[in-house]
Amino acid sequence: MKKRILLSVALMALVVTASAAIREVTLQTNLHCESCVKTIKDKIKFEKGLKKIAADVPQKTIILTYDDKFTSSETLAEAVRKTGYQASIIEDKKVEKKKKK
Amino acid sequence: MISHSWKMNHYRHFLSSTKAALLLALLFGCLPLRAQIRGFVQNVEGDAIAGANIVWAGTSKGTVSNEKGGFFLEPITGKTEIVTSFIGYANDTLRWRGESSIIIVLREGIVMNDVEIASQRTGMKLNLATSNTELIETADLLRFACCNLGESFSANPSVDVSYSDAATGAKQIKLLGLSGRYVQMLTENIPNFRGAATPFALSYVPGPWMQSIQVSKGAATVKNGYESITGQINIEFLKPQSEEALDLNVYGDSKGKAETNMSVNYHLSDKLSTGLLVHMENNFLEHDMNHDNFVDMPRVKQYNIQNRWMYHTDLYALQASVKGMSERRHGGNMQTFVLVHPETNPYSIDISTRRWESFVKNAYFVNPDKGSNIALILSGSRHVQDAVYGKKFYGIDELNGYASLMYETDIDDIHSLSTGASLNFDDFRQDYSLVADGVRNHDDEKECVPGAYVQYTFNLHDKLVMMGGIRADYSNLYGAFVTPRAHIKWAPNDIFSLRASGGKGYRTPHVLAESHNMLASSRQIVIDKHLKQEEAWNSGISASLHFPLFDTPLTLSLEYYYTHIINQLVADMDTDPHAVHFHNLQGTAFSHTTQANATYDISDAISVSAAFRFMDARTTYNGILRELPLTSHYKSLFSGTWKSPLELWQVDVTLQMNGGGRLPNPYTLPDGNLSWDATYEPYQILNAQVTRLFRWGSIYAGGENLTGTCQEYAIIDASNPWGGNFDSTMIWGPLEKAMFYAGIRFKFKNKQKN
Repeated sequence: MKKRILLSVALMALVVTASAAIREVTLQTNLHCESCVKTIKDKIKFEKGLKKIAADVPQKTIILTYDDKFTSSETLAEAVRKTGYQASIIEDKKVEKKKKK
Repeated sequence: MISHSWKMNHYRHFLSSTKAALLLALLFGCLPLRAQIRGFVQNVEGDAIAGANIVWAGTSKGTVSNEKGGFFLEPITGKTEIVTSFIGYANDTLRWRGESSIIIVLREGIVMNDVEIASQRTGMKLNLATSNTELIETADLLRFACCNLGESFSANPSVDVSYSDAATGAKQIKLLGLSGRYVQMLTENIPNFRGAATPFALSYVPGPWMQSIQVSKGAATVKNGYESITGQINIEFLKPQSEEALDLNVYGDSKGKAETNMSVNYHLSDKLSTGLLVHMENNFLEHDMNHDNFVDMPRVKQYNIQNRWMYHTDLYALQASVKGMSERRHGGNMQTFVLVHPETNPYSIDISTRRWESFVKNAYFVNPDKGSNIALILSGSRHVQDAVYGKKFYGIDELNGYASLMYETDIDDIHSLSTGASLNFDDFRQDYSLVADGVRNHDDEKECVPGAYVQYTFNLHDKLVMMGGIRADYSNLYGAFVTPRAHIKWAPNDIFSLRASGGKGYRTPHVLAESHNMLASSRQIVIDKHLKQEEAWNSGISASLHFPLFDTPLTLSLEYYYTHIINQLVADMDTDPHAVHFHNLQGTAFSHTTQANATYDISDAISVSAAFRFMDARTTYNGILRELPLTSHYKSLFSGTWKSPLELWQVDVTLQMNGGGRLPNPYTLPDGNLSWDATYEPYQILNAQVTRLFRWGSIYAGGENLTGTCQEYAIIDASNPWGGNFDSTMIWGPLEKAMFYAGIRFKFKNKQKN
């Protein structure tokens, strides 16, 4: 019985780990220059699970790559809002399966 | 700086309070205006922000603010939003309604901790400055273990820092191939670290206290006096008006040095703020890696504290500061530090220093329409030092007082004028014995120098700037003398700029106060009477190119400087290898320096820079024109920075390659060998640091002199310090092998106010 429980727990952990993914969220903001990008970047870069920050200045969007095991797109959008910029999620997609452990 | 802040504060006040401005704005808003918009960029404290980007929203068209924060912007039909950005500040979007003049105020927006303002602009040239100026910012100072001012130039291609001797730990700088004596040191744009402070000044400024350092090469403005010959180095300390925060820094290294720094700011009101800077260091271990029975570095214990105040209204600003420092340097034989039998008679070097400084800066805006302001600067210092070198000693009690009254006004958009008067007073009270157990000598030297200057600037939209200044001073020791200086900058576009400068400088020599570390040798010290004022012309030209290469910016620059010395205090160590003879120049002396720099951001993550400098500095010694001893022929510097995608990790590496040079003439020992090599070979120094940023601060670790370059047997006849051959002044390179260090920085912000 104990072995079954342990096996189940291990299996669940594996499923959870396997389902954790690297995702990419695109936020529509009101940034308008490279300096805005740096402002936002410097304020949110310590967010847990955040992997990469990219920006498209003409489109006024920010693309954040993150590990959904540690954060969520809404958490990151809120972090951007706290910097004083607008942020609304326009896309949130899985970009890479996390390696199975 | 104050005057600029006045100018901008005033303009803000002027624009907001003058109905005429509003009427004009409304009127111009209805017209297809084609005249340029004139504006200023400033921070909330009213300080000018140079280098800010000002663009029309949705376009790439715009401009950059100049060194005074000013700019001219070409209007674009249909565009009304002006976006201003600068690293370290939140962006500002201003709706333009046709005003001919605008003020843009940026707020600090991203200063979450002091490392976060690290920018791509490390060691950048101030492209907008009229003179050839390099800016070392907070971010640069954090790239390496910049424990003090002397260590802040490790990644700077223009300033050389080297040990003055192998016994006291004193460091000296060189600029344009010449001694740091010819560089005017300023703190907050006030002359400082003169006379007795010279030998150890580089250790008197803790690294974490500094906000930035400006290194200006060649002739400087006449506003700050006549003393600058090869250039100026200005240190800006952390400002009390910056955001309220408490910073702590703890540092330790493999040589046994521990250091703690603290800075705290408190805003008593919107107008009044104060700041406290504290530094403590203790080099508590003595070590002798070359086994010459002399400690490689003296044990240094230093306490340093500074309290600053800032008060400002719309038309008046006041800055005040008091600073106190106590330092003890203890070196010599290893036996000095242990209990030994008195008969061993160890050689000891013991230098105790107490220094007090204070300044008050007042600035008042007189005529808003003309941008006129008047500023009064008062400063004073007292430097008390007792230095014992074996059985010789040198003591000094130096007083300095300085007053400067300045008036600046814009005649119109193109022409401006600055004029002022100054008074400098020095009193050197010295007690010394230049020979072991010799007679105690005392002398008291006073110099009082009143002076006045006028400076005119022609500025055609920052594309052509011409500045000419002249000052006249009168010294009670040397009589009247005139200092002319001129600068020209031509920057036809954002890609290319050309600068030229020329001018004269003078300085009063104070042989013992500035060179008493020569007592750490058995050389006989001979000082001629009637030493003249040092006097030299400096001229230079520099060109820089800044353009994108594969979508990332490449900056190239080339410069040449020539210093023609009319009179120099010559320290002749060649004619007699057992003596140093200080005398007036008898013959010619000059310095040629050519330097090329390149900086390039290979990617978002990697930026690199390279520099090469060639120097030819010569002086006449005993009728023979010879190159300066202990001065490398060339220096090249390569540095690179890597940052992780989120810039949480940073790695900095700098490789310094120094050319060879000559040493003062050696003598032949009884065994037929030379007392020391006549020349030294090129050598390299590698420094590296890794930094990890956190919300609360950062952790850093690194190594200095990782190539392990070390001058073996730096002290001549170290085994017999009481003998006639002992000499610790033949120093051309590092005195210690690799050193490793680590530190941690904390920043606590006042969340209620920030």
